[in-house]
Amino acid sequence: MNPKVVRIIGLSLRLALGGLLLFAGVSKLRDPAGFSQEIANYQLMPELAPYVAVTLPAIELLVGGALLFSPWRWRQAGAVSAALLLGVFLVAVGSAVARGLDITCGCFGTGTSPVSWWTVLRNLGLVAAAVLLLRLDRPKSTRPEATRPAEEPERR
Amino acid sequence: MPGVLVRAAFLLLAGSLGGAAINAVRPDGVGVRGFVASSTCGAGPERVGPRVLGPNAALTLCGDPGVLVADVRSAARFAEGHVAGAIHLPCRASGDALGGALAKLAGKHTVIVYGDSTDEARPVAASLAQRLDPGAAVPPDIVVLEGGFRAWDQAGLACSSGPCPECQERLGSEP
Repeated sequence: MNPKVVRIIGLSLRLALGGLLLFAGVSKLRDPAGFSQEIANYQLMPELAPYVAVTLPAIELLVGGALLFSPWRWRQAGAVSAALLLGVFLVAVGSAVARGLDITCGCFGTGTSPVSWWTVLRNLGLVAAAVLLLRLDRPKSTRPEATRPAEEPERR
Repeated sequence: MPGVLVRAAFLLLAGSLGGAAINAVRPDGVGVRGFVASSTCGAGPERVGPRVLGPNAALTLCGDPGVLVADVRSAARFAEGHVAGAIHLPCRASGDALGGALAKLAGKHTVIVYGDSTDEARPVAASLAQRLDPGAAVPPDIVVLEGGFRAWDQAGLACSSGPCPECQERLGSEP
């Protein structure tokens, strides 16, 4: 694939995922007690709900920030963390829908939409985006454009 | 790749510690030890907990200003028909909705909770009982309507229909 296209796709994924995680983190910080309840409603170890509610927003902010503002090595770590987080969300939402629970997603704090197969599909897409970002995001070349091998056929 | 995994673990750990620190300093932080979930909807029948009241016995309490009736079913089921004067308090109520519902308990001596069946309402009623203000002089008596809304409806007792304003507000805020 054309390197320029790869770079544009990688940058788009970075901005989209990083922005989404920052937005999700800020949204969840608004009402920590309500968010604890949203997590408990999933009925997956509800006793851990307050711990998740306390830590998850800050993790999302940090991972989102790493994707948007950090050098390549930390961006890669951010992409791995994002894939892990979104994978856990996918399992939680999928299990809630499969068990027929009538609960809201809690994806962006309290007052968000009820979980449905659409939510599962959206999370699946986000996991795929994080994995794709891990593959497509490349470090900035330290060599000037004019001295790249592709433009220096005489040296081969 | 190992370096990436170490950095990823660092991000997750630093985020967790940062979150704990933020929670410790904010005035509305979550009390991780004293947390009680407001409901465990769908968790299955609970055989101990709030007492059960038959529809006719519940009817004798209706009209008493010290009695609050709460419907734990979905907004759609609530809109189709509910006990006259009931508030909507679904399993997924949280944040402002839950706070508003709990505020309405002030000054009530009895709360009648119902779902589509007795078992649907039991966990929510049990959870409501746990969340009552421990400082209240006389906490309200939380009871479950036996047979749920179906029994009430079949007995031909007072019902009304249409969405509640709170349900509309909640649905309107959902993307």
